Amino acid sequence: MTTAEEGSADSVPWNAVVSDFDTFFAQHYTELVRALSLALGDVEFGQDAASEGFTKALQRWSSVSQFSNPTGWVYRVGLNWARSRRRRSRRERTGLVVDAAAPAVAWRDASLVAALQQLSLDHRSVVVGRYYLDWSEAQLATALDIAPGTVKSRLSRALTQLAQLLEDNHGQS
Amino acid sequence: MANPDEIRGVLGDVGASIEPGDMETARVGVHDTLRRRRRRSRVVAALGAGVLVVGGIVAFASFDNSDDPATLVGVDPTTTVASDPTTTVADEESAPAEASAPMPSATTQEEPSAALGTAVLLDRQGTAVTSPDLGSDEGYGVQWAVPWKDGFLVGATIYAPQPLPSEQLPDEIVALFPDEVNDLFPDGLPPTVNEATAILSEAGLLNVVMEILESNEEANEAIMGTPTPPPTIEVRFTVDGSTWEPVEMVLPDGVSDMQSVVSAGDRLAVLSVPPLNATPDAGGAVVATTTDLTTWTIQSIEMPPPAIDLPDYVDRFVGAVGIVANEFGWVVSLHESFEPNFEALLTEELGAVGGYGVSDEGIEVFSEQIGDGGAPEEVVTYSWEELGVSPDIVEYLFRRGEGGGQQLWAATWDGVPARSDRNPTHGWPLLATDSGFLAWGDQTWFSADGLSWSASPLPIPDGYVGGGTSFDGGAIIIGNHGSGGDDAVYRVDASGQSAELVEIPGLPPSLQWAGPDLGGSALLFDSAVHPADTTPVVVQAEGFELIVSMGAGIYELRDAASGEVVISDGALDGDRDEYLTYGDDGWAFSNPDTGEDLVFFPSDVVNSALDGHYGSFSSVSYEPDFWFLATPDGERFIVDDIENGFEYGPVTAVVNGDTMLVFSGSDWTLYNFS
Repeated sequence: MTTAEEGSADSVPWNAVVSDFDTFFAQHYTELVRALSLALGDVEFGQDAASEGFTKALQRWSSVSQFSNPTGWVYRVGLNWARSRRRRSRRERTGLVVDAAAPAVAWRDASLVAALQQLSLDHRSVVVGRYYLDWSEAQLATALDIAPGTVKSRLSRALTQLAQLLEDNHGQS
Repeated sequence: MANPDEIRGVLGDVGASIEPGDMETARVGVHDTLRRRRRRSRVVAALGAGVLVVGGIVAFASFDNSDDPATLVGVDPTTTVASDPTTTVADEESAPAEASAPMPSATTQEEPSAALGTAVLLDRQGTAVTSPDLGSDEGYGVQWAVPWKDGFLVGATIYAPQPLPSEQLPDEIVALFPDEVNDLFPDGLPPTVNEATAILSEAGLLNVVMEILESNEEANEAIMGTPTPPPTIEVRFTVDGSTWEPVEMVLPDGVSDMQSVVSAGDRLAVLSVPPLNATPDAGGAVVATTTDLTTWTIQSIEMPPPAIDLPDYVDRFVGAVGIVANEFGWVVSLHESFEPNFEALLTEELGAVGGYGVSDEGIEVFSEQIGDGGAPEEVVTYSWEELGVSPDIVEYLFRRGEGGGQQLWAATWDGVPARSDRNPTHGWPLLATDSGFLAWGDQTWFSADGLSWSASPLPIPDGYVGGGTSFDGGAIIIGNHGSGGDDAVYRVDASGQSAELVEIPGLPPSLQWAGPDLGGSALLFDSAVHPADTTPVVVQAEGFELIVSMGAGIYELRDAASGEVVISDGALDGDRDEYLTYGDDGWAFSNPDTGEDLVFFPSDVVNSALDGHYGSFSSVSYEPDFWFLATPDGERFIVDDIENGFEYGPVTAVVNGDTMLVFSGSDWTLYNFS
């Protein structure tokens, strides 16, 4: 059998493929690592997920580069990879470490991030996509391969849960 | 409900505090990972034969696996002999070394056939102009920009809230919700989900409803399944960037988004593909055209269904690559892809294991997570046959899903769309000129109507064209020898002929084309230096040398003692079975004329040598520096370095007459050619 890899990057000048991909990588690496770290609640895990997403993007670059939103594709691949690894992994995650002493991270930030980590991955992924990556709900639906109505559902529920969690956390502090 | 603005702000703050790690290390890691994964299949592909000559004459075919006949160029075999390369010897146990001697190739030694053309560099400085305010607090930026009338039109798509059904829900749906929820809506649901969310949230019942919706697909469909109304469009017009006027533009029914926008003369054309089309039967696109931004003409593209029946676990996607247009009509490039959900085949097997991977034999299931450098404890491979995946499905998904799913469709402005007689392979650069349409693959392709295409040789022998931009009477294109190296600028006429190599003094050296793929008014370059990947890998065994140069698309089998080229091949498609038998343990070459066994190369030795080759390639530092090149007429050029272009990402440049508007991130700059 001939594998998928054979027909892609090998079929065009490799330098051109890599140069094009490297441009995409350089432009989106940081934002996707951060987005996946926020969604997964773990910086190291986010880096791994981003690497997996980018690797698969390079593997299929002739196709992925033609997508209207290759960044969304990498985001989804990273989430799917993390989802499959997460539920099977026994490894302890380091967690999303929020440096409260950092000037940009006020107390409210740590509180909200803590609340965010209590949401399901499905809900976190839409919150991060919508409010960190600034994708429209339609763009999110396409990126995550879910119905627009599901995006609405998850966003609504996530926001409500966040509000409740913040209120609970305030009450406990 | 939590405040979205606060969430946006906090996520922004926290996101900025996350250290993503060293980008260069990560980039190299991506290349290295892929290199390991594809090592074997890469070598197989490298040795695919398009043209084969034994014992003297060497022929190279073009470096493109399209279904079109390859262009052949006869080459003296002596030009391909590497001088004293470091070899990897199969009989030795020591780690194989990669060869370092560059391989002279026909592609690098051929001089461009194009004549030398002249160019006038205009010394024009850009003027910073104001940014258009799209009037949305949703963070939408400009998504498209085109020349329009005597100025420029820019816009973004704003999506409406999800509507709720106006009629009463069916009793069986209502019965799924507790009375306290139903009591909140005695007269039916409010118009949109936003109002319903507010009501439910205030009552403390939003979670209850959402849990029901997420666990019950029928309920979710009944409430959230109402089609979203067409998105609204925010459009602004400017003549010179000093002021932006709001322009009303309403998309017609059936146009749900704006994947690609182009203008031609007094027409504006929008290519729209439904964002959710992950069903086997889905597939299509719409081209909506207007001359007044109010009334529209719709032309529908109906893509045929897949050639085979796809199983339920495979989603089919149709995406828009883009549209180009001229006075006569348009050409649309669509991309079809497939996403198999292999987990659906392994529900039981994946229950308590570490993960899985897909190989050409089937699906490999790991007993423990691999990662952090750790090896899996156990790997079990389930063959495609065991998993019930038929060979034709495997072949179709892997072959078509990767690069063969791109289609061209075309029509005149008032015609019925039809599929072109050519499939672009691996993303043909596509341009509209005032004579027709141009595309480049292994050859130059021209079509007056976008449907019937004719081929002619590329202006760059055995090279490729990365992209281009058109002007009245011709186009400027970017070419590169297939063996790598810097890009060169060529001027061609409106049918892609009469190529001239254009030397533009203002361009920095070491250019690599960076976009755009389709149309566009200016060309984007990266002036960073990239390596030319022509270093051959040489493996030696049984008195023969196997030499592979992926960058040049060349390999040779030579007699080590005499240096005689026994087999040489520069193409990817063809019948390599004539002379090569590939097995898990190695590669067996035979004489295609006599069938006599020639030599056997152990696969671990070949793979190790190629590992060294690609490892060295991916470890080169990459620091892009973007420039653009624009011309109104193919004679006069503006060249400029893009400030912060790398940071801000893609750059859009739009030329209208003697004025060019450049949009980079939040920066808008106006240039004048006159």
